[in-house]
Amino acid sequence: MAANDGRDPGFEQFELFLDAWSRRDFIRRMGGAAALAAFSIGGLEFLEACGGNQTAQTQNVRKGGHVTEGSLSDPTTFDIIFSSDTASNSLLGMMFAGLLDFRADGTQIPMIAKEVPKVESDQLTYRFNLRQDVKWSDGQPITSDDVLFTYSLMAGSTYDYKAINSRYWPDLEQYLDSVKAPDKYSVIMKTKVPYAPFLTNYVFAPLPKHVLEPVVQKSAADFRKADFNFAPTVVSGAFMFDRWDKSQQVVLKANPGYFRGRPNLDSYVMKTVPDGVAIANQLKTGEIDVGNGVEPSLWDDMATASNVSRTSFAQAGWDYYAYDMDPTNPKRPVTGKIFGDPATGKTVRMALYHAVDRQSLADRVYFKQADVATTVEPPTSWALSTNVTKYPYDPKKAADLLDQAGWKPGPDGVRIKDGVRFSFEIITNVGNKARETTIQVLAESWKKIGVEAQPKPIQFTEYVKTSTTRDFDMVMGGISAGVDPDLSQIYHSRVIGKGLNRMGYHSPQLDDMLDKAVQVLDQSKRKQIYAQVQQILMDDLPAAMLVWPRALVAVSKRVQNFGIGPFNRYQYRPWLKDVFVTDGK
Amino acid sequence: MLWKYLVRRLVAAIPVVLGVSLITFVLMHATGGDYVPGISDDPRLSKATVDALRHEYGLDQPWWVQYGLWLWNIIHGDFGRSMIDGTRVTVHIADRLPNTLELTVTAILMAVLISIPVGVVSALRRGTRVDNALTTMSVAGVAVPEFWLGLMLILLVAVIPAQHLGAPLLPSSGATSSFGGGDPLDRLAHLILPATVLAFTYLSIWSRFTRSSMLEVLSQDYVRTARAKGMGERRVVYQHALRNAVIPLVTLVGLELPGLVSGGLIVEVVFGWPGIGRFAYERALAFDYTTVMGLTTFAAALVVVGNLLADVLYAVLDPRIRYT
Repeated sequence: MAANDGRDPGFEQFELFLDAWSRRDFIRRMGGAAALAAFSIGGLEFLEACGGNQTAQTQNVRKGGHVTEGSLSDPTTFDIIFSSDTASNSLLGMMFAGLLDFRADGTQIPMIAKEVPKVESDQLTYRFNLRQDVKWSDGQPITSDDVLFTYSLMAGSTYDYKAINSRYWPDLEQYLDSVKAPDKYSVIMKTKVPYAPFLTNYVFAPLPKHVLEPVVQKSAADFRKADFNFAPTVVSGAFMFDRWDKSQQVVLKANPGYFRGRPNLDSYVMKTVPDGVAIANQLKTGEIDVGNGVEPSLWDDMATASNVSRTSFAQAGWDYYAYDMDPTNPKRPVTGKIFGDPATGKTVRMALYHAVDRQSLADRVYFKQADVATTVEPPTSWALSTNVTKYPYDPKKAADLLDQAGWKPGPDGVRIKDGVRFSFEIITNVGNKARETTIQVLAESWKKIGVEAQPKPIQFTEYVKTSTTRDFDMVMGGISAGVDPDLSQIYHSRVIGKGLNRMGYHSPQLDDMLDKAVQVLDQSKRKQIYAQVQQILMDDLPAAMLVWPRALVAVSKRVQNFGIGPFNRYQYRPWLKDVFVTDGK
Repeated sequence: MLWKYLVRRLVAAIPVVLGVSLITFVLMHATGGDYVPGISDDPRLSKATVDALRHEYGLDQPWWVQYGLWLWNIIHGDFGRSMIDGTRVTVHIADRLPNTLELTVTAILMAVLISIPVGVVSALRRGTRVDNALTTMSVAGVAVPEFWLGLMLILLVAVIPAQHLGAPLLPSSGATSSFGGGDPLDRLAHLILPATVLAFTYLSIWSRFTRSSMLEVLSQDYVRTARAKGMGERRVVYQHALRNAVIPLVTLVGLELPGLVSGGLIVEVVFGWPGIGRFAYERALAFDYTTVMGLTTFAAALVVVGNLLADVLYAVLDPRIRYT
């Protein structure tokens, strides 16, 4: 289980994966609250108030009953090494308690660990003291042995787990020096270099060694096929596995021995409802109690259901467009030169950005459930900076900038420079309505300033390949971010053709700052660096941020204390045990 | 010689099933290439890791080698494991096919049981208001998309009653209740709406077909003869005419047999029915090659067998047909 629910910047693909599955603009994206305004006044307190971590109601708490949550896709596996979809990860989080957990605003809180460790004076060492009263659901104590076992599974030190290929392995190999257990209830983790995102990204929930070791010792590669991954027999979280009706629902039951106390509910059901409209309908009929990610087009309609209350909040993600800006990219020499020309490329990038009416995009394409993005960090980030270059909608200025850059109107209305027409393709993945509409809107906007963009929705797998093949002119998509503000996976030159730097953006100055920012552990100092990073990126525009879609959550009024927020929405739900239903059913 | 005929048909079916699997394989390969579902799209994995997985799955081999290997395993009864979750493909099928069959068989039975009487009544009362009304309904049934009909039924039977009476009249999704469900009555309650929607499309076509077939038979000489020798009208219609009129319908129903497996896709999505059609669709989009190959091959085999059964049934209904 990734500490950030697989939502660090590298995980765009994951999100797209779900899109392709559900054919609908889904769970992770759309939301609704006045987050933008809030940031200028109250920052994160606002998230606290509107998102999760409301003070849990303790009066009139009823025990018993169940809550049913609708999910657009069926979970695939409870294999923590490969699980990457929201349904599976949410269920895993309910069944397996972490060493640490997240509050709505992304701050970490202790769970199995007694406290959130502070880095020691060497800037490398983290000491976790484990609670001694925490037990697996079969009565065995949870000890440092379980933690060691889990890390060896993830990082492949003790056994040859490389055969399993944990998706965390490359990162762990790069940053994790060692995990040691000096005694039964202490774990000492050491990083190779000071690494700020370590605690938020790489602290995993322990797995039961006494149950899994025999399975793994038979064959590491067989771990994927283990029955445990489809019906966990031993858990540590608030709920235990009860049954999985394939393609229909997963039923969890309360864990009476949960170390923070038995949950109020008897059961929690994750029901597969493969259609956005059906999710809205079933919220109305009461067949499901929770819609974690309602389609924005249905959000207003949800207000008419008297049995449902709506919560919306800013979330860690953005929709944006990026272009090939590498003049040496052999796949796209023309666009590479248009956007990456050392003399005029930046002016062109600015011109295109000025020509897009993003407020209207947020209002019409995202049904007012998105805010205009003002910087490269997500709206939920503690590193968010407002002191960056702004790009208001100004088609006149856009046209002037293009004139300046030497792009003059040609005979057919499309601008020309040195015999090259300003014409390119803009792609997005098929099946995501908001995105398919957005690329149409972009093309229309740019047509007005004499730039020809041909919208082209493409197959999901092809879309994914753009990151590695860099065979595209311009791409429009979305990225979900994690708690940590690190942007290396998107803008660092070392991830050109590997991570999400498909733009081919290469700035030695920015590379240095990104490297420095992850090695400084002091948050206020990091914040200063990221303010500079944001200023550079918003000035240079290697990619153009469009909107910040909001999270839209509808919950039945019979459900209380459902403390969901931006960073504890899926896998991390420390509030889950306090949830109760007023009718006790 | 029925058994000889059966053997010959089954042997002839082998290239059909092989062809379907080959086409599926080539299509999947052409669109997906060496994409490893859930892995290739994770930029944090190193190229070496992705390549190792690609090798493990055999995706680094030329496509004909991959197909050959797959075929070899199938011949040995091994459908392989899903690339996404590592579950046996046969387990995936066994988990969901019964649900789909429950839905589609019910729908087809409903459609047959309703369309024949409707067709007969229309034919006997040709040109009357009853006939016109039934004709209008049939045309509507063909014209209305399944998903729209499904959503309307959900609205009328589940959403509106829930908002006014506090509970839906019938459940609008799933095959069983989460708790205390699973008994026949509970399953029936969940089955009614999706089966009705699915039956409606079949019903429209089949009732029109029964009507015209019935009209044709009623004008035959042997019907006139039967009437002339003083046979009661009921016997003429139901024993002589109807039996002959429904024979072509068997072919028509037989043609819908592929729908037993796949036909429920839209209904399965709208009603959250845990069936194989929806599952196959999801996995095709996710490029779970092994699962999709297993599912299509299995479905192709099922269709071949289904068509064969229809042909045999034909002989039972019409003794004039002989198998040679």
